[in-house]
Amino acid sequence: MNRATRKSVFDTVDAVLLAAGLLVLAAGQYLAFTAPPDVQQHYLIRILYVHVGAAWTAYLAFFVAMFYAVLYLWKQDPAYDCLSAASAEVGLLFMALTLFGGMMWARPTWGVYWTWEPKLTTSAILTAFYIGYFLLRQAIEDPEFRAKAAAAAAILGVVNIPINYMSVYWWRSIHQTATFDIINRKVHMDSPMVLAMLVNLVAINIIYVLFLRLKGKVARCAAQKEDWDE
Amino acid sequence: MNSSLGVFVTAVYAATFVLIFGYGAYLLWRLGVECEG
Repeated sequence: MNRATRKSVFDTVDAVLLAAGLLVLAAGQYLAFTAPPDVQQHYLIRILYVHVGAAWTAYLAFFVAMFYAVLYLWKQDPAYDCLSAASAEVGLLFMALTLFGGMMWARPTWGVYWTWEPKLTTSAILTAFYIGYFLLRQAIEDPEFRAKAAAAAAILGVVNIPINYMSVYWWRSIHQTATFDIINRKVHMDSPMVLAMLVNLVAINIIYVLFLRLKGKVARCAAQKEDWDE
Repeated sequence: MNSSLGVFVTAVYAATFVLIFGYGAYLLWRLGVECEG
């Protein structure tokens, strides 16, 4: 493979996103580790700076997967199916990070890694749904039928997101309410903590866009190979 | 900071970044296999 083709696979936009992601992530870590401790959670609050950003990015990724699924059904272009699957996969990664961070925070705070309270239960359902999405893709051999079935699943999947977000308001339990409370338009944090959380959120979103681009390219190349093999 | 709590929080961050950068490295490897192979 020549140098020009190699450059076109990981292009300038990817390089800029990688550099920006690393820089903003470094700034986010500095802010996270210099922000004051919480009155009740002490330094455990630092886990939430990544946990919340990962959760919001997972939500975004699943909405983007739905957006490309709708585009696929409308335009019938396989490239949109590749991007929909790519966004769902990256969303699943950030959902896994959300669950991991949440469990690590819960053990010293609640005394258990996991409890079947509404927020955690709806998060588990959301994660299981997108694992099912990939099992569905694996189970169907015909590329066109697979793309249509996956598009339907990606559209259906986002129904879980408002339920997951609203669960802390609809069924009050031990999980705290949203840090960025978009229902009551309040932020339940002091300024240095909000800044650390927002900068980490921006960093994770830049990384998400980079991963989406890279995974989209991998999926398109794999789809082309599948076409050649038939 | 309580030292054991500090180690715990740092370990959680380290594991998080291992997962993120690990996935990034996996994507770059797949990019080489699928698009340049």
